[in-house]
Amino acid sequence: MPAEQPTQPAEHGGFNAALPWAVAGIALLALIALVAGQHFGRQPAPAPQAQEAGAAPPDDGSGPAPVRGPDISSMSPRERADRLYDRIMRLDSEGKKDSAAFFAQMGISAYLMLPQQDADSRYDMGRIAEVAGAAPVAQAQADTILAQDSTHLLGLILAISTARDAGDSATAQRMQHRLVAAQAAELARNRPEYQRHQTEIAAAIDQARKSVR
Amino acid sequence: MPVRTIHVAHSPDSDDAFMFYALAAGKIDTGDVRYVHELQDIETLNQRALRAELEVTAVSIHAYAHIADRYALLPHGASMGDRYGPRLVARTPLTREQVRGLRIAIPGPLTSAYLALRLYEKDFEPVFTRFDEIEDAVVDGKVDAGLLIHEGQLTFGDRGLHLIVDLGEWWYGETGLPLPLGGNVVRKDLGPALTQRISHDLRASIAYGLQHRAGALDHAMRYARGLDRQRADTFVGMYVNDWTLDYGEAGRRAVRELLARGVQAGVIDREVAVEFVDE
Repeated sequence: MPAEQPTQPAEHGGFNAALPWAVAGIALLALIALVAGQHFGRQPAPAPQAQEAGAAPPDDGSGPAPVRGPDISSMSPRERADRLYDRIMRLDSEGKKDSAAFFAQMGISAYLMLPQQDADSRYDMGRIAEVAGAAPVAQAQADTILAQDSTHLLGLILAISTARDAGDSATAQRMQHRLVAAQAAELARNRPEYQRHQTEIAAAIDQARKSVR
Repeated sequence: MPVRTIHVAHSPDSDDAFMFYALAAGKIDTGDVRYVHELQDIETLNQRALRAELEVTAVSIHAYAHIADRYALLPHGASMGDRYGPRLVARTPLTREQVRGLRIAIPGPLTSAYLALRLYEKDFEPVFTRFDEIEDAVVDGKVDAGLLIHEGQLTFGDRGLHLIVDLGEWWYGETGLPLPLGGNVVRKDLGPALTQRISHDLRASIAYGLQHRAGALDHAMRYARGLDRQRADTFVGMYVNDWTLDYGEAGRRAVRELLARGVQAGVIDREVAVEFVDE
């Protein structure tokens, strides 16, 4: 399965020899987490909370008390997955394709670990899979959502997107027609996932309306 | 203990949904194996299996001929037509001779329905069409006839279409065997221990569905594509039958016979070493 790369065997070496590299690696990860934490989040976080665990600011006793960042270990699997989704989508929209692809593998794994998959999580996973270049995974999520609910807006939007990625303009057009036809009744259902993705949904409907005129 | 994620893919029809109900709904304990379900039409799954993308998937028996080097057939979950199967329909009644040369909508080149029709009549023009669009294609006159799988086998009469041949019935007359349409396969690189585990879980899922028929049918109704509950129950009963828990000797013979005839007819371009997972 392209979404899950097999674990590579670790290089063997002495503990002492590896220690400096391990320390450097931890420091690098902390730095990445710090930087990334300042740039993503489903909801804009207050600036002080951008600090990630392991990167606490210096406390010299003169400044305001440090505010701890979100404790990832206390988050639910869904919250962790959603957090990755936000990060990946933000990186992708900023054109940071390499970084987005790097986190995308983690993101897919995070969604696969959820105890239950629903349309919302499948949509998120599908979007991440697109970023990762795993087109079959994305297509599978769209198909599954629509198999379970043929008018689900997130399924239709993902199907449009995957069809475009595949250069299948006929399917994309067909799905846009279905999106336009379904949107009024679907939005009236007030599904929580529609609230979460309202910006993307509005944009997709707007684009579909223009395309099917 | 680390959790192993296994992708299980099946087609969004009511018999598959019935079989996978317990796994999908978390009704059985699968320990450290987590199953992630994907639902796609059978031809898409056939194509994905060609690329070995999925650990466990439903495929057409015809498609299995092309993936036998990388997948083995699980002993459970087969869809066998016991004197029924894919149905060739048209807007007007036709004889067998009149089928020759027609443009016929087919659900995919790797489907067992396509293979069976080729064995029934080798000379026709296939028009590959999504399975759920075939009935419309026939009604609208885009094709001369259509080969229906899934629930369409029960509903074509509602739209005024005529049955030309039931390929399961024809196959039984030819061989005395059920027509093997679909099966579940497991990728061989998972190794014997995990394969056994998956096989056990799938059997448990089917057994649970059979023991809790009402709940499983409720779940399956989501994929019944317009069938009322009674018809959906009938459809599930057609394909969740004695062969579902195990192919048995007749089922295994039927698989080998279908593929061997496919090779003889030139539809399949290679001899197929059929491999079943033994429990």
